[in-house]
Amino acid sequence: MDFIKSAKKFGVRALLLQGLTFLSVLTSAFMIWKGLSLFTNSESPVVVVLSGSMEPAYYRGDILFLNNGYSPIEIGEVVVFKVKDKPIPIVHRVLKVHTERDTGAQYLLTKGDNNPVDDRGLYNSGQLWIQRDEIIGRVKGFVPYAGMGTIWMNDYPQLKLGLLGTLCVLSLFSND
Amino acid sequence: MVQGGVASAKVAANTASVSELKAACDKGLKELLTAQGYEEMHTHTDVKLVLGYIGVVFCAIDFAYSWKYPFEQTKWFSYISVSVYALASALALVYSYVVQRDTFFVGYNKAKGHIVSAGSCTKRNEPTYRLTLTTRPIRGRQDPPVFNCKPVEVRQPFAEWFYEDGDFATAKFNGDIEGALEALLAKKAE
Repeated sequence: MDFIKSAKKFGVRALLLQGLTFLSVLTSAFMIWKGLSLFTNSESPVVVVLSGSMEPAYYRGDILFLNNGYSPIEIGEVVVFKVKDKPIPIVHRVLKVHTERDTGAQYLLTKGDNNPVDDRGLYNSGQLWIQRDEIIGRVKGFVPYAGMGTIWMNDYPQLKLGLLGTLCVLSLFSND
Repeated sequence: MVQGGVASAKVAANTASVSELKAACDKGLKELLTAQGYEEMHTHTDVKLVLGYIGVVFCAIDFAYSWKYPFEQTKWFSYISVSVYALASALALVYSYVVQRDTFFVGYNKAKGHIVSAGSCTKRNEPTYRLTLTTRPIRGRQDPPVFNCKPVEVRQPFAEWFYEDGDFATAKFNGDIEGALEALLAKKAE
């Protein structure tokens, strides 16, 4: 009820302005992410390492920057891929590559540096190779430990909501 | 001496904050002009609202589309919406800096046939209110009297309009500004 009262007092325009200030926090964040995504041609241009399977190169909590350029994947490259129908992206190194002569289609086998076996156990049942379109991107750079915040927020989802809520509330109080 | 017709709450500002002092003066000016029969024109706000919400709408559609369908399929629309968003934001920024600048109130007086526009700024750490008043005839009116087409500037230290405890001296402020308004609207004998 208070909201309606203050809405009548300030008028529609002021309400729309406040709404825009609040929404612009969300939209600019999303648009920056989308822009980066389009620039790198990758559906997820920044990822967090969730497991220790790539130690000592990448540790849990590192942030990786990806680029999904069109050039063929080569052996030794560290890639992030998502097996079809499995939601979790995995960051491992490419072990073997087969390229079809006529179409140029690539079949890849991956393995985590710190794992004792290759990834065939992680692929779908019966799948021996992953395709190029299951690759989200190659790792182009990384920042150590910077992703610990994301890991905490995934383990405790209340943190994520709390952070977003705080940002929005703060934007409402800015004197624009 | 014309007192604001609106029964507003007592205006008080933190005398140590230039931005609060400026905000109080802006509010006082708005009330004075509104009392003198100037209806507020919201063109600047409307332009920015339209541009802003165009960006928001494209962003919302893109979010929904790319949530439902895979990246490769929705890429084409993302290119469009990111471009539209960037363009709308850039236009809004340019509009704010080039067209609107310091203007905080634009009012039109139908009876007298002209528009008064007020802009104010302050310099950092300098407690002086710099007000610029301009006027132009309402477009389409046949016989606008010729007004002073040069802007009238009022430059006074805040100390002249605020008591020590921060209360706003509305009467004195109104008196000073009305003098400037008269100078602005004085017919030019050319």
